[in-house]
Amino acid sequence: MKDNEKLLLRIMIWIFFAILFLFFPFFAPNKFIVHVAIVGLSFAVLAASWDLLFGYAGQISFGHAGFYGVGAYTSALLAHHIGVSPWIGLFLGSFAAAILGALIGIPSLRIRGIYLALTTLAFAEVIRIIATNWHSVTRGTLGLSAKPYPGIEFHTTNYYYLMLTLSVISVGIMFWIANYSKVGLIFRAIKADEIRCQSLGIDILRYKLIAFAISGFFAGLAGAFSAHYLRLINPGDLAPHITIFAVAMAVIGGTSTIIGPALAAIIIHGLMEYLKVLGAVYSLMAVGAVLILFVIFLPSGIAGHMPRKWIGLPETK
Amino acid sequence: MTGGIYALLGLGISLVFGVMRVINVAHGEMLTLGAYAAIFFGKTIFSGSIGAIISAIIITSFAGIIIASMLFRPITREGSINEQQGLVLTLGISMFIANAVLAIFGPDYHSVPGKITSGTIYIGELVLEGQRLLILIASLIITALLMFFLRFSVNGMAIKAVAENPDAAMASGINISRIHLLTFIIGSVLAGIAGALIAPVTYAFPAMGFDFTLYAFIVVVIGGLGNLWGALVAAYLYGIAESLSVLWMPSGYNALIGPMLMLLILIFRPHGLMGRSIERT
Repeated sequence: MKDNEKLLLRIMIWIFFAILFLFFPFFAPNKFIVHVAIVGLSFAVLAASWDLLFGYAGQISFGHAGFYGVGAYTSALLAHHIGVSPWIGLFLGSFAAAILGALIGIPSLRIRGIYLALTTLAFAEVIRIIATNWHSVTRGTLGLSAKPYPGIEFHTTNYYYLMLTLSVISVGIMFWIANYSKVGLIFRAIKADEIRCQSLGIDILRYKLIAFAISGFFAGLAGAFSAHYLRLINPGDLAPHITIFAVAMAVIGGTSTIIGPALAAIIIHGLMEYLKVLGAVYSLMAVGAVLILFVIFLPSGIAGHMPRKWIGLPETK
Repeated sequence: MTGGIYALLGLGISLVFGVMRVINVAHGEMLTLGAYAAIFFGKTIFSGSIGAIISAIIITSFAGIIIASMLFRPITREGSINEQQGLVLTLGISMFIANAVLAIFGPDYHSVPGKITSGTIYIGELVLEGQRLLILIASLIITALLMFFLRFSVNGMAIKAVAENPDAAMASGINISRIHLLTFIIGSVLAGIAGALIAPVTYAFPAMGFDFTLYAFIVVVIGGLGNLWGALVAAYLYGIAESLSVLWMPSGYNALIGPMLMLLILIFRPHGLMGRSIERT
Protein backbone atom coordinates (compact mmCIF):
# COMPACT_ATOMS: atom_id res chain seq x y z
CA MET A 1 0.00 0.00 0.00
CA LYS A 2 1.05 3.51 -0.62
CA ASP A 3 1.46 5.91 2.25
CA ASN A 4 -1.73 7.80 1.37
CA GLU A 5 -3.82 4.65 1.37
CA LYS A 6 -2.32 3.63 4.67
CA LEU A 7 -3.18 6.97 6.19
CA LEU A 8 -6.72 6.74 4.84
CA LEU A 9 -7.18 3.25 6.27
CA ARG A 10 -5.84 4.44 9.60
CA ILE A 11 -8.25 7.37 9.71
CA MET A 12 -11.14 5.09 8.69
CA ILE A 13 -10.39 2.71 11.54
CA TRP A 14 -10.22 5.55 14.05
CA ILE A 15 -13.52 6.98 12.75
CA PHE A 16 -15.09 3.55 13.01
CA PHE A 17 -14.05 3.27 16.65
CA ALA A 18 -15.16 6.84 17.38
CA ILE A 19 -18.62 6.14 15.95
CA LEU A 20 -18.79 2.81 17.76
CA PHE A 21 -18.09 4.45 21.10
CA LEU A 22 -20.18 7.57 20.50
CA PHE A 23 -23.36 5.84 19.44
CA PHE A 24 -22.92 2.66 21.42
CA PRO A 25 -26.02 3.12 23.65
CA PHE A 26 -28.22 3.47 20.55
CA PHE A 27 -27.41 0.18 18.90
CA ALA A 28 -26.70 -1.80 22.06
CA PRO A 29 -29.43 -4.46 22.29
CA ASN A 30 -30.06 -3.88 25.99
CA LYS A 31 -29.20 -1.80 29.03
CA PHE A 32 -26.99 -4.46 30.55
CA ILE A 33 -24.50 -4.26 27.71
CA VAL A 34 -24.27 -0.49 28.18
CA HIS A 35 -23.64 -1.14 31.88
CA VAL A 36 -20.82 -3.55 30.98
CA ALA A 37 -19.34 -0.90 28.70
CA ILE A 38 -19.44 1.71 31.49
CA VAL A 39 -17.57 -0.52 33.93
CA GLY A 40 -15.18 -1.46 31.12
CA LEU A 41 -14.44 2.22 30.52
CA SER A 42 -13.66 2.81 34.18
CA PHE A 43 -11.29 -0.17 34.13
CA ALA A 44 -9.69 1.32 31.01
CA VAL A 45 -8.69 4.37 33.05
CA LEU A 46 -7.36 2.13 35.83
CA ALA A 47 -5.30 -0.04 33.45
CA ALA A 48 -3.93 3.01 31.64
CA SER A 49 -2.91 4.60 34.94
CA TRP A 50 -1.01 1.45 35.90
CA ASP A 51 0.72 1.48 32.54
CA LEU A 52 1.77 5.12 32.94
CA LEU A 53 3.59 4.17 36.12
CA PHE A 54 5.03 0.86 34.97
CA GLY A 55 5.43 1.22 31.23
CA TYR A 56 6.83 4.76 31.30
CA ALA A 57 8.30 5.57 34.69
CA GLY A 58 9.38 1.95 35.26
CA GLN A 59 7.91 1.80 38.78
CA ILE A 60 6.03 -1.40 39.47
CA SER A 61 2.98 -0.90 41.65
CA PHE A 62 0.99 -3.65 43.30
CA GLY A 63 -1.05 -1.10 45.17
CA HIS A 64 -3.39 0.18 42.51
CA ALA A 65 -6.36 -1.31 44.32
CA GLY A 66 -5.38 1.09 47.12
CA PHE A 67 -5.60 4.13 44.81
CA TYR A 68 -8.83 2.88 43.26
CA GLY A 69 -10.40 2.14 46.64
CA VAL A 70 -9.24 5.39 48.25
CA GLY A 71 -10.80 7.33 45.38
CA ALA A 72 -14.02 5.42 45.86
CA TYR A 73 -14.08 5.65 49.66
CA THR A 74 -13.13 9.33 49.83
CA SER A 75 -15.93 10.33 47.53
CA ALA A 76 -18.50 8.01 49.09
CA LEU A 77 -17.58 8.88 52.69
CA LEU A 78 -17.71 12.62 52.01
CA ALA A 79 -21.12 12.20 50.43
CA HIS A 80 -22.32 9.93 53.25
CA HIS A 81 -21.13 11.88 56.28
CA ILE A 82 -20.95 15.52 55.16
CA GLY A 83 -23.21 15.44 52.12
CA VAL A 84 -20.66 16.54 49.56
CA SER A 85 -22.01 16.28 46.03
CA PRO A 86 -20.58 13.30 44.11
CA TRP A 87 -19.55 15.70 41.35
CA ILE A 88 -17.15 17.39 43.74
CA GLY A 89 -16.37 14.03 45.35
CA LEU A 90 -15.18 12.76 42.00
CA PHE A 91 -12.33 15.23 42.07
CA LEU A 92 -11.72 15.16 45.81
CA GLY A 93 -11.47 11.37 45.59
CA SER A 94 -8.98 11.62 42.76
CA PHE A 95 -6.91 14.18 44.68
CA ALA A 96 -6.91 12.00 47.78
CA ALA A 97 -5.64 9.11 45.67
CA ALA A 98 -3.02 11.38 44.10
CA ILE A 99 -1.75 12.44 47.54
CA LEU A 100 -1.67 8.80 48.61
CA GLY A 101 0.18 8.04 45.38
CA ALA A 102 2.82 10.64 46.20
CA LEU A 103 3.15 9.20 49.72
CA ILE A 104 3.67 5.70 48.36
CA GLY A 105 6.09 7.18 45.88
CA ILE A 106 8.44 8.48 48.57
CA PRO A 107 10.00 5.10 49.42
CA SER A 108 10.48 4.44 45.70
CA LEU A 109 13.65 6.50 45.88
CA ARG A 110 15.31 3.78 47.91
CA ILE A 111 13.27 0.73 46.99
CA ARG A 112 13.28 -0.76 43.53
CA GLY A 113 11.68 -3.50 41.49
CA ILE A 114 10.24 -6.38 43.42
CA TYR A 115 10.72 -4.65 46.79
CA LEU A 116 8.69 -1.70 45.56
CA ALA A 117 5.93 -4.05 44.38
CA LEU A 118 5.81 -5.58 47.87
CA THR A 119 5.84 -2.16 49.56
CA THR A 120 2.92 -0.91 47.50
CA LEU A 121 1.06 -4.17 48.10
CA ALA A 122 1.54 -3.77 51.86
CA PHE A 123 0.32 -0.18 51.66
CA ALA A 124 -2.87 -1.21 49.88
CA GLU A 125 -3.44 -4.03 52.36
CA VAL A 126 -3.07 -1.66 55.33
CA ILE A 127 -5.75 0.57 53.84
CA ARG A 128 -8.00 -2.41 53.14
CA ILE A 129 -7.71 -3.74 56.69
CA ILE A 130 -8.49 -0.31 58.12
CA ALA A 131 -11.53 0.03 55.85
CA THR A 132 -12.70 -3.43 56.91
CA ASN A 133 -12.42 -2.79 60.64
CA TRP A 134 -13.33 0.85 61.11
CA HIS A 135 -17.03 0.09 61.39
CA SER A 136 -18.16 3.44 62.75
CA VAL A 137 -16.98 5.24 59.62
CA THR A 138 -16.90 2.77 56.75
CA ARG A 139 -19.45 0.23 57.97
CA GLY A 140 -16.83 -2.44 57.35
CA THR A 141 -17.72 -5.38 55.13
CA LEU A 142 -21.37 -4.34 55.11
CA GLY A 143 -20.36 -1.82 52.51
CA LEU A 144 -21.33 1.79 52.13
CA SER A 145 -24.07 2.94 49.83
CA ALA A 146 -23.07 5.90 47.70
CA LYS A 147 -25.40 8.51 46.28
CA PRO A 148 -25.97 8.59 42.54
CA TYR A 149 -24.89 11.69 40.61
CA PRO A 150 -27.56 14.37 40.96
CA GLY A 151 -29.12 15.20 37.61
CA ILE A 152 -28.48 11.92 35.84
CA GLU A 153 -29.79 9.43 38.40
CA PHE A 154 -30.70 5.95 37.29
CA HIS A 155 -30.17 6.71 33.65
CA THR A 156 -27.66 4.31 32.14
CA THR A 157 -27.17 6.25 28.89
CA ASN A 158 -26.27 9.43 30.75
CA TYR A 159 -23.75 7.52 32.83
CA TYR A 160 -22.32 6.04 29.67
CA TYR A 161 -21.63 9.46 28.20
CA LEU A 162 -20.26 10.78 31.48
CA MET A 163 -17.84 7.87 31.75
CA LEU A 164 -16.97 8.04 28.07
CA THR A 165 -16.06 11.70 28.42
CA LEU A 166 -14.11 11.11 31.61
CA SER A 167 -12.19 8.16 30.25
CA VAL A 168 -11.41 9.71 26.88
CA ILE A 169 -10.10 12.82 28.64
CA SER A 170 -8.16 10.81 31.24
CA VAL A 171 -6.62 8.37 28.80
CA GLY A 172 -5.94 11.25 26.41
CA ILE A 173 -4.15 13.26 29.10
CA MET A 174 -2.11 10.26 30.21
CA PHE A 175 -1.27 9.45 26.60
CA TRP A 176 -0.10 12.97 25.97
CA ILE A 177 1.90 13.20 29.19
CA ALA A 178 3.58 9.87 28.56
CA ASN A 179 4.43 10.26 24.91
CA TYR A 180 4.61 13.92 24.04
CA SER A 181 5.47 15.94 27.14
CA LYS A 182 8.80 16.75 28.74
CA VAL A 183 7.71 15.02 31.93
CA GLY A 184 7.00 11.84 29.96
CA LEU A 185 10.42 12.02 28.39
CA ILE A 186 11.99 12.17 31.84
CA PHE A 187 9.81 9.25 32.98
CA ARG A 188 11.18 7.18 30.13
CA ALA A 189 14.70 8.30 30.90
CA ILE A 190 14.30 7.23 34.54
CA LYS A 191 13.03 3.86 33.39
CA ALA A 192 15.97 3.43 31.03
CA ASP A 193 18.78 4.41 33.39
CA GLU A 194 18.11 5.92 36.75
CA ILE A 195 21.69 6.54 37.80
CA ARG A 196 22.56 8.28 34.55
CA CYS A 197 19.51 10.50 34.93
CA GLN A 198 20.68 11.49 38.35
CA SER A 199 24.13 12.31 37.08
CA LEU A 200 22.56 14.56 34.44
CA GLY A 201 21.02 16.62 37.23
CA ILE A 202 17.46 15.40 37.06
CA ASP A 203 15.63 15.42 40.38
CA ILE A 204 14.58 11.79 40.30
CA LEU A 205 12.49 11.81 43.46
CA ARG A 206 10.41 14.71 42.17
CA TYR A 207 9.58 12.99 38.91
CA LYS A 208 8.89 9.67 40.56
CA LEU A 209 6.47 11.41 42.90
CA ILE A 210 4.84 13.11 39.92
CA ALA A 211 4.46 9.75 38.19
CA PHE A 212 2.93 8.16 41.28
CA ALA A 213 0.63 11.14 41.85
CA ILE A 214 -0.66 11.21 38.26
CA SER A 215 -1.16 7.47 38.24
CA GLY A 216 -2.91 7.61 41.62
CA PHE A 217 -5.09 10.50 40.49
CA PHE A 218 -6.52 8.65 37.51
CA ALA A 219 -6.88 5.35 39.35
CA GLY A 220 -8.75 7.28 42.06
CA LEU A 221 -10.93 8.89 39.40
CA ALA A 222 -11.93 5.46 38.13
CA GLY A 223 -12.69 4.39 41.70
CA ALA A 224 -14.67 7.51 42.61
CA PHE A 225 -16.75 7.23 39.47
CA SER A 226 -17.50 3.54 40.01
CA ALA A 227 -18.50 4.13 43.64
CA HIS A 228 -21.33 6.48 42.71
CA TYR A 229 -22.26 4.60 39.60
CA LEU A 230 -22.49 1.16 41.24
CA ARG A 231 -23.78 2.96 44.38
CA LEU A 232 -22.25 0.42 46.74
CA ILE A 233 -18.66 0.09 47.85
CA ASN A 234 -17.08 -2.37 50.23
CA PRO A 235 -13.51 -3.24 51.24
CA GLY A 236 -13.46 -5.62 48.26
CA ASP A 237 -12.79 -2.53 46.14
CA LEU A 238 -9.41 -2.32 47.88
CA ALA A 239 -8.60 -6.01 47.51
CA PRO A 240 -5.61 -7.24 45.50
CA HIS A 241 -7.79 -8.66 42.72
CA ILE A 242 -8.42 -5.11 41.46
CA THR A 243 -4.66 -4.67 41.14
CA ILE A 244 -4.30 -8.05 39.48
CA PHE A 245 -6.98 -7.07 37.00
CA ALA A 246 -5.23 -3.79 36.18
CA VAL A 247 -1.89 -5.54 35.71
CA ALA A 248 -3.42 -8.27 33.57
CA MET A 249 -5.18 -5.76 31.31
CA ALA A 250 -2.04 -3.69 30.93
CA VAL A 251 0.15 -6.67 30.05
CA ILE A 252 -2.34 -8.17 27.61
CA GLY A 253 -2.94 -4.80 25.97
CA GLY A 254 0.75 -4.02 25.74
CA THR A 255 2.66 -1.95 28.28
CA SER A 256 4.27 1.39 27.40
CA THR A 257 1.43 2.31 25.06
CA ILE A 258 -1.38 3.61 27.36
CA ILE A 259 -3.88 2.99 24.53
CA GLY A 260 -3.28 -0.76 24.54
CA PRO A 261 -4.15 -1.33 28.21
CA ALA A 262 -7.19 0.94 27.93
CA LEU A 263 -8.62 -0.91 24.92
CA ALA A 264 -7.71 -4.30 26.37
CA ALA A 265 -9.56 -3.43 29.59
CA ILE A 266 -12.75 -2.65 27.68
CA ILE A 267 -12.52 -5.70 25.41
CA ILE A 268 -11.57 -8.16 28.12
CA HIS A 269 -14.09 -6.87 30.60
CA GLY A 270 -16.72 -7.30 27.88
CA LEU A 271 -15.54 -10.81 27.08
CA MET A 272 -15.50 -11.72 30.75
CA GLU A 273 -19.09 -10.61 31.18
CA TYR A 274 -20.00 -12.52 28.04
CA LEU A 275 -18.28 -15.66 29.32
CA LYS A 276 -20.27 -15.37 32.53
CA VAL A 277 -22.93 -17.34 30.67
CA LEU A 278 -20.63 -20.30 31.30
CA GLY A 279 -19.93 -19.21 34.86
CA ALA A 280 -17.92 -16.37 36.39
CA VAL A 281 -15.29 -18.86 37.49
CA TYR A 282 -14.46 -19.90 33.96
CA SER A 283 -14.12 -16.34 32.76
CA LEU A 284 -11.57 -15.62 35.50
CA MET A 285 -9.76 -18.85 34.70
CA ALA A 286 -9.68 -17.81 31.07
CA VAL A 287 -8.19 -14.41 31.95
CA GLY A 288 -5.51 -16.13 34.02
CA ALA A 289 -4.70 -18.48 31.14
CA VAL A 290 -4.66 -15.67 28.59
CA LEU A 291 -2.34 -13.67 30.85
CA ILE A 292 0.06 -16.64 31.08
CA LEU A 293 0.02 -17.11 27.30
CA PHE A 294 0.69 -13.41 26.69
CA VAL A 295 3.63 -13.30 29.09
CA ILE A 296 5.20 -16.29 27.35
CA PHE A 297 4.38 -15.68 23.70
CA LEU A 298 3.58 -11.99 23.30
CA PRO A 299 5.36 -10.19 26.14
CA SER A 300 4.82 -6.79 24.56
CA GLY A 301 1.07 -7.32 24.30
CA ILE A 302 -1.42 -6.59 21.56
CA ALA A 303 -0.47 -2.95 21.02
CA GLY A 304 3.22 -3.82 21.13
CA HIS A 305 2.81 -5.75 17.90
CA MET A 306 0.96 -3.04 16.03
CA PRO A 307 2.83 -0.45 14.01
CA ARG A 308 3.55 2.42 16.41
CA LYS A 309 2.14 5.01 14.03
CA TRP A 310 -1.23 3.30 13.95
CA ILE A 311 -1.89 3.91 17.58
CA GLY A 312 -0.51 7.41 17.51
CA LEU A 313 2.80 6.74 19.21
CA PRO A 314 5.90 8.61 18.17
CA GLU A 315 8.43 6.55 16.25
CA THR A 316 11.36 5.34 18.28
CA LYS A 317 14.69 3.70 17.59
CA MET B 1 1.64 -23.57 64.90
CA THR B 2 1.12 -20.71 62.49
CA GLY B 3 4.84 -20.08 62.72
CA GLY B 4 5.51 -23.56 61.35
CA ILE B 5 3.20 -23.00 58.39
CA TYR B 6 4.75 -19.62 57.69
CA ALA B 7 8.17 -21.22 57.88
CA LEU B 8 7.30 -23.83 55.25
CA LEU B 9 5.84 -21.17 52.95
CA GLY B 10 8.56 -18.63 53.59
CA LEU B 11 11.33 -21.15 52.92
CA GLY B 12 9.71 -22.03 49.58
CA ILE B 13 9.33 -18.42 48.47
CA SER B 14 12.80 -17.52 49.65
CA LEU B 15 14.38 -20.52 47.93
CA VAL B 16 12.58 -19.87 44.65
CA PHE B 17 13.51 -16.21 44.78
CA GLY B 18 17.12 -16.93 45.64
CA VAL B 19 17.61 -19.32 42.75
CA MET B 20 15.20 -18.17 40.06
CA ARG B 21 14.91 -14.48 40.99
CA VAL B 22 11.15 -14.76 40.68
CA ILE B 23 8.66 -13.51 43.24
CA ASN B 24 6.21 -16.35 43.19
CA VAL B 25 2.79 -14.78 43.73
CA ALA B 26 1.23 -18.19 43.06
CA HIS B 27 2.95 -19.73 46.07
CA GLY B 28 -0.18 -19.63 48.21
CA GLU B 29 -2.10 -21.39 45.46
CA MET B 30 0.26 -24.33 45.85
CA LEU B 31 -0.90 -24.48 49.45
CA THR B 32 -4.49 -24.47 48.18
CA LEU B 33 -3.64 -27.30 45.78
CA GLY B 34 -2.04 -29.28 48.59
CA ALA B 35 -5.02 -28.76 50.87
CA TYR B 36 -7.51 -29.81 48.19
CA ALA B 37 -5.42 -32.79 47.13
CA ALA B 38 -5.48 -33.88 50.77
CA ILE B 39 -9.24 -33.43 50.88
CA PHE B 40 -9.95 -35.18 47.61
CA PHE B 41 -7.65 -38.17 48.02
CA GLY B 42 -8.14 -38.29 51.76
CA LYS B 43 -11.84 -38.84 51.17
CA THR B 44 -11.58 -41.25 48.27
CA ILE B 45 -8.52 -43.35 47.52
CA PHE B 46 -6.25 -43.11 50.54
CA SER B 47 -8.59 -42.87 53.43
CA GLY B 48 -5.76 -42.18 55.88
CA SER B 49 -4.22 -38.87 56.78
CA ILE B 50 -0.68 -39.99 55.87
CA GLY B 51 -2.11 -40.82 52.45
CA ALA B 52 -3.58 -37.33 52.27
CA ILE B 53 -0.18 -35.76 52.86
CA ILE B 54 1.48 -38.05 50.33
CA SER B 55 -1.13 -37.22 47.71
CA ALA B 56 -0.62 -33.52 48.42
CA ILE B 57 3.10 -33.99 47.81
CA ILE B 58 2.46 -35.85 44.55
CA ILE B 59 -0.05 -33.34 43.22
CA THR B 60 2.00 -30.25 44.06
CA SER B 61 5.23 -31.69 42.71
CA PHE B 62 3.37 -32.52 39.53
CA ALA B 63 2.05 -28.95 39.35
CA GLY B 64 5.55 -27.69 40.08
CA ILE B 65 6.99 -29.72 37.20
CA ILE B 66 4.35 -28.43 34.79
CA ILE B 67 4.78 -24.79 35.83
CA ALA B 68 8.58 -24.81 35.86
CA SER B 69 9.11 -26.77 32.65
CA MET B 70 6.24 -25.47 30.54
CA LEU B 71 5.74 -21.91 31.76
CA PHE B 72 9.04 -20.71 33.20
CA ARG B 73 11.35 -22.36 30.68
CA PRO B 74 10.11 -20.36 27.64
CA ILE B 75 10.80 -17.05 29.39
CA THR B 76 14.20 -18.10 30.73
CA ARG B 77 17.02 -16.50 28.79
CA GLU B 78 20.56 -17.68 29.44
CA GLY B 79 19.66 -18.97 32.86
CA SER B 80 17.87 -15.90 34.13
CA ILE B 81 14.27 -14.79 34.18
CA ASN B 82 13.13 -11.23 33.73
CA GLU B 83 11.95 -10.05 37.15
CA GLN B 84 8.78 -8.35 36.01
CA GLN B 85 7.85 -11.00 33.46
CA GLY B 86 8.17 -13.66 36.13
CA LEU B 87 6.03 -11.63 38.53
CA VAL B 88 3.21 -11.16 36.03
CA LEU B 89 3.43 -14.81 34.96
CA THR B 90 2.92 -16.07 38.50
CA LEU B 91 0.05 -13.61 38.86
CA GLY B 92 -1.64 -15.37 35.94
CA ILE B 93 -0.88 -18.78 37.41
CA SER B 94 -2.34 -17.73 40.75
CA MET B 95 -5.53 -16.50 39.10
CA PHE B 96 -5.83 -19.70 37.07
CA ILE B 97 -5.29 -22.16 39.92
CA ALA B 98 -7.53 -20.36 42.41
CA ASN B 99 -10.40 -20.26 39.97
CA ALA B 100 -9.80 -23.78 38.68
CA VAL B 101 -10.08 -25.05 42.26
CA LEU B 102 -13.22 -22.97 42.66
CA ALA B 103 -14.66 -24.45 39.44
CA ILE B 104 -13.92 -28.04 40.43
CA PHE B 105 -14.72 -28.05 44.14
CA GLY B 106 -17.17 -25.17 44.49
CA PRO B 107 -17.03 -22.25 46.90
CA ASP B 108 -17.88 -24.24 50.06
CA TYR B 109 -15.56 -24.62 52.98
CA HIS B 110 -14.23 -28.16 53.16
CA SER B 111 -12.88 -29.98 56.13
CA VAL B 112 -10.39 -32.76 55.91
CA PRO B 113 -11.68 -35.99 57.43
CA GLY B 114 -8.73 -37.51 59.18
CA LYS B 115 -6.54 -35.50 61.47
CA ILE B 116 -3.35 -37.36 62.13
CA THR B 117 -3.79 -36.98 65.83
CA SER B 118 -6.82 -35.90 67.71
CA GLY B 119 -7.47 -34.79 71.23
CA THR B 120 -5.36 -32.52 73.37
CA ILE B 121 -2.01 -32.77 75.01
CA TYR B 122 -1.12 -31.28 78.36
CA ILE B 123 2.35 -29.97 79.06
CA GLY B 124 2.26 -28.54 82.55
CA GLU B 125 -0.39 -25.82 82.41
CA LEU B 126 -0.23 -25.66 78.63
CA VAL B 127 -3.11 -27.19 76.68
CA LEU B 128 -2.35 -28.01 73.06
CA GLU B 129 -4.44 -29.42 70.29
CA GLY B 130 -2.73 -32.52 68.90
CA GLN B 131 -2.80 -31.49 65.25
CA ARG B 132 -1.34 -28.08 66.01
CA LEU B 133 1.56 -29.61 67.90
CA LEU B 134 2.04 -32.01 65.01
CA ILE B 135 2.22 -29.14 62.53
CA LEU B 136 4.94 -27.54 64.62
CA ILE B 137 6.97 -30.76 64.87
CA ALA B 138 6.46 -31.68 61.22
CA SER B 139 7.54 -28.25 60.03
CA LEU B 140 10.65 -28.40 62.20
CA ILE B 141 11.56 -31.85 60.82
CA ILE B 142 10.94 -30.78 57.21
CA THR B 143 12.98 -27.62 57.71
CA ALA B 144 15.85 -29.63 59.14
CA LEU B 145 15.68 -32.08 56.24
CA LEU B 146 15.74 -29.22 53.75
CA MET B 147 18.72 -27.59 55.41
CA PHE B 148 20.60 -30.92 55.44
CA PHE B 149 19.72 -31.44 51.78
CA LEU B 150 21.01 -28.02 50.83
CA ARG B 151 24.17 -28.39 52.84
CA PHE B 152 25.28 -31.95 52.19
CA SER B 153 23.78 -33.31 48.95
CA VAL B 154 25.22 -32.60 45.53
CA ASN B 155 21.95 -31.21 44.20
CA GLY B 156 21.48 -29.08 47.29
CA MET B 157 24.92 -27.58 46.90
CA ALA B 158 24.20 -26.97 43.23
CA ILE B 159 21.06 -25.07 44.23
CA LYS B 160 23.08 -22.90 46.58
CA ALA B 161 25.69 -22.35 43.91
CA VAL B 162 23.12 -21.14 41.41
CA ALA B 163 21.62 -18.82 44.01
CA GLU B 164 25.08 -17.43 44.79
CA ASN B 165 26.24 -16.82 41.24
CA PRO B 166 24.39 -18.26 38.22
CA ASP B 167 27.16 -17.51 35.72
CA ALA B 168 29.88 -19.17 37.74
CA ALA B 169 27.57 -22.11 38.41
CA MET B 170 26.90 -22.49 34.71
CA ALA B 171 30.63 -22.29 33.99
CA SER B 172 31.28 -25.13 36.43
CA GLY B 173 28.92 -27.39 34.54
CA ILE B 174 25.73 -27.08 36.53
CA ASN B 175 22.61 -27.48 34.45
CA ILE B 176 20.73 -24.35 35.38
CA SER B 177 17.35 -25.26 33.97
CA ARG B 178 17.43 -28.55 35.88
CA ILE B 179 18.23 -26.68 39.09
CA HIS B 180 15.40 -24.24 38.41
CA LEU B 181 13.05 -27.17 37.97
CA LEU B 182 14.27 -28.85 41.15
CA THR B 183 14.02 -25.65 43.16
CA PHE B 184 10.55 -24.90 41.99
CA ILE B 185 9.39 -28.43 42.80
CA ILE B 186 10.87 -28.20 46.30
CA GLY B 187 9.17 -24.85 46.85
CA SER B 188 5.83 -26.15 45.60
CA VAL B 189 6.00 -29.33 47.66
CA LEU B 190 6.82 -27.35 50.82
CA ALA B 191 3.72 -25.24 50.22
CA GLY B 192 1.68 -28.35 49.41
CA ILE B 193 2.68 -30.06 52.66
CA ALA B 194 1.79 -26.87 54.53
CA GLY B 195 -1.63 -27.00 52.85
CA ALA B 196 -2.24 -30.63 53.76
CA LEU B 197 -1.17 -29.97 57.35
CA ILE B 198 -3.25 -26.87 57.90
CA ALA B 199 -6.44 -27.97 56.13
CA PRO B 200 -7.67 -30.11 59.08
CA VAL B 201 -7.31 -27.15 61.44
CA THR B 202 -8.63 -24.21 59.45
CA TYR B 203 -10.80 -25.72 56.69
CA ALA B 204 -10.03 -25.22 53.03
CA PHE B 205 -11.62 -22.80 50.58
CA PRO B 206 -10.51 -21.85 47.06
CA ALA B 207 -9.33 -18.33 47.89
CA MET B 208 -7.26 -19.38 50.92
CA GLY B 209 -4.05 -19.12 48.95
CA PHE B 210 -3.70 -15.40 48.58
CA ASP B 211 -3.76 -14.63 52.29
CA PHE B 212 -1.02 -17.16 52.84
CA THR B 213 0.99 -15.69 49.98
CA LEU B 214 0.79 -12.34 51.72
CA TYR B 215 1.84 -13.75 55.11
CA ALA B 216 4.70 -15.60 53.45
CA PHE B 217 5.85 -12.38 51.78
CA ILE B 218 5.79 -10.62 55.12
CA VAL B 219 7.92 -13.34 56.67
CA VAL B 220 10.32 -13.41 53.77
CA VAL B 221 10.66 -9.64 53.67
CA ILE B 222 11.38 -9.51 57.40
CA GLY B 223 13.99 -12.22 57.03
CA GLY B 224 15.47 -10.85 53.82
CA LEU B 225 14.56 -12.19 50.39
CA GLY B 226 16.63 -15.22 49.48
CA ASN B 227 17.91 -15.64 53.04
CA LEU B 228 16.63 -19.01 54.29
CA TRP B 229 17.68 -18.74 57.94
CA GLY B 230 16.27 -15.23 58.08
CA ALA B 231 12.95 -16.45 56.74
CA LEU B 232 12.91 -19.26 59.27
CA VAL B 233 13.53 -17.03 62.28
CA ALA B 234 11.10 -14.42 60.99
CA ALA B 235 8.39 -17.04 60.44
CA TYR B 236 8.38 -18.24 64.04
CA LEU B 237 8.70 -14.72 65.44
CA TYR B 238 5.85 -13.47 63.30
CA GLY B 239 3.68 -16.48 64.13
CA ILE B 240 4.19 -15.84 67.85
CA ALA B 241 3.70 -12.08 67.51
CA GLU B 242 0.48 -12.57 65.60
CA SER B 243 -0.92 -14.99 68.16
CA LEU B 244 0.06 -12.79 71.10
CA SER B 245 -1.26 -9.61 69.50
CA VAL B 246 -4.83 -10.79 70.18
CA LEU B 247 -4.15 -10.07 73.83
CA TRP B 248 -3.74 -6.33 73.45
CA MET B 249 -5.24 -5.45 70.08
CA PRO B 250 -8.84 -5.69 68.93
CA SER B 251 -9.10 -8.76 66.71
CA GLY B 252 -9.45 -7.71 63.10
CA TYR B 253 -7.00 -4.89 63.57
CA ASN B 254 -4.32 -7.39 64.47
CA ALA B 255 -4.23 -8.29 60.79
CA LEU B 256 -2.57 -4.88 60.41
CA ILE B 257 0.58 -6.02 62.17
CA GLY B 258 1.95 -7.97 59.23
CA PRO B 259 1.55 -5.41 56.46
CA MET B 260 2.62 -2.58 58.77
CA LEU B 261 5.73 -4.45 59.84
CA MET B 262 6.54 -5.24 56.22
CA LEU B 263 6.03 -1.62 55.23
CA LEU B 264 8.24 -0.24 57.98
CA ILE B 265 11.00 -2.74 57.33
CA LEU B 266 10.95 -2.13 53.59
CA ILE B 267 11.09 1.62 54.09
CA PHE B 268 13.89 1.64 56.63
CA ARG B 269 15.80 -1.47 55.62
CA PRO B 270 14.91 -2.05 51.96
CA HIS B 271 16.57 -5.46 51.82
CA GLY B 272 14.95 -6.93 54.89
CA LEU B 273 16.07 -7.09 58.48
CA MET B 274 18.72 -9.69 57.85
CA GLY B 275 19.00 -9.25 54.11
CA ARG B 276 22.20 -8.36 52.39
CA SER B 277 22.22 -5.56 49.87
CA ILE B 278 22.09 -7.66 46.72
CA GLU B 279 21.24 -5.09 44.12
CA ARG B 280 23.95 -2.63 44.90
CA THR B 281 26.79 -5.05 44.41
